[in-house]
Amino acid sequence: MGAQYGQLNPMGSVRDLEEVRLARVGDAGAANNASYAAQKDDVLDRHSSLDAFASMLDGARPGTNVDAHKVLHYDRQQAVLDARSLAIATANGDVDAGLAEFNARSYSARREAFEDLWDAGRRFVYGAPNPGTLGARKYGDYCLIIDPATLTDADTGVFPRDTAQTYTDSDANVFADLAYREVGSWQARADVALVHRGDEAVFLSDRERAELVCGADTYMEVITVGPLGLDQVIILRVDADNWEEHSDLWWDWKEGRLSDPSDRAKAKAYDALMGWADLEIETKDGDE
Amino acid sequence: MNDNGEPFVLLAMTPAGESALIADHDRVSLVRFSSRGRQRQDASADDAETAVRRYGWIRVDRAFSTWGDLDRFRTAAAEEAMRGFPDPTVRDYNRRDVEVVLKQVARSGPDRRVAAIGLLTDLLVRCPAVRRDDDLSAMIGERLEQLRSTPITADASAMSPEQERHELARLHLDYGIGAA
Repeated sequence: MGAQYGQLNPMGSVRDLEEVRLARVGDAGAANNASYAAQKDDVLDRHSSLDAFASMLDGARPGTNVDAHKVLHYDRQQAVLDARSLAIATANGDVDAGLAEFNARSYSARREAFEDLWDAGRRFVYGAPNPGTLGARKYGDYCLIIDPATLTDADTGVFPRDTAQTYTDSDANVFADLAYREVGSWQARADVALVHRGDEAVFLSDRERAELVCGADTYMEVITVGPLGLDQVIILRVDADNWEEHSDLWWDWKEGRLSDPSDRAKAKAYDALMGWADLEIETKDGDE
Repeated sequence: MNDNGEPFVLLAMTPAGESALIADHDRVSLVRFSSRGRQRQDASADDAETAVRRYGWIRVDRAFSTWGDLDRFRTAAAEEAMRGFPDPTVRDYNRRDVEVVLKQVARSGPDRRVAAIGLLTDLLVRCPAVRRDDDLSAMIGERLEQLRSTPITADASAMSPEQERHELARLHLDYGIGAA
């Protein structure tokens, strides 16, 4: 591996190096395809049982778990938004206020350091390769599945782990060389998984393997440049009992019987999602 | 206060308050606030970091001496976050809103029959988007006809004809007006 973009100090920030033409994350991933393919063969030679793990990733689609408030903003903007755009939307379109709120978050410097490695990095939308699960439900009831065929290859990359944590340190120094070496293309997601997570996956069940790449505590990252149109969201995957609660709340809301703001948020999120064109709503037993 | 005399600490919450990570003495819990009761599951302080960093939860890190105080804070914060999403009245509904109502009526069971008839009737009478759209009006009329002609399923939630007339009288034309 080793796609080289610009003359970067691996520990430096590119924020001030305007003369450097930044890589598009998917292009950088594609530059690593051959290397990943060769390494993947080595992994499968050692652990042939990981064929099933690769197949799981081949069948995965980008997914992201969101809460009710995000659903409502996405619905209002008719788009899946990056974090800065969401902050601006939450500030009622006040760009300065939204960005100030975003920058005040303790982790923003690390995220920004990573994002500034890439062309359009500040518009990144983050997800994980979802192999058919409810995703990181702990952090968001609504698992939005994106149609990968609608994503621009050059702007879509796959990483083996959380990018901000892996490629920056607590002082927001960025490990550019490592990020460039480890990024994969969406097409190579199975290879990236085998090379970086294969050893962890060997003795896991299918369910545990799914949790490894798209769970609440461990995950790979799929990154693409936003915003995404709502028509690119093809499936809402949600816990069946939870969805029925939402349906009941919707009726209570319509009858003016909801006073709790969280219940109203759920009812409105339900209403919003029911209005997304051509969205397949897939309910699953949360224990599956 | 909890059993150990320790305060509750609200570590982080979703903006609309449907979920929160709460430290209670020596344990951290993910609490889902559901209309069917609070659901608790074990969590960790690291979960709060992930929730804030990766999923956009609000970091709170505030201690409360009673659960009630914590819950009042949560609902007040959620109310603030939801201020930008007011409740439309039926008069404000657009075509998309009406189509959602039709979808929801179609997927709901017989226990919603009375409420569905009331809501659809209200749309026909009060909603300008429906009144100027012949297709929408026809779809609503068709659905109303189906609902009125469908025998009430013999289940525990079905009302007697007398109860149903009473409910319809109560609900008639009221939808959206008093929505909180």
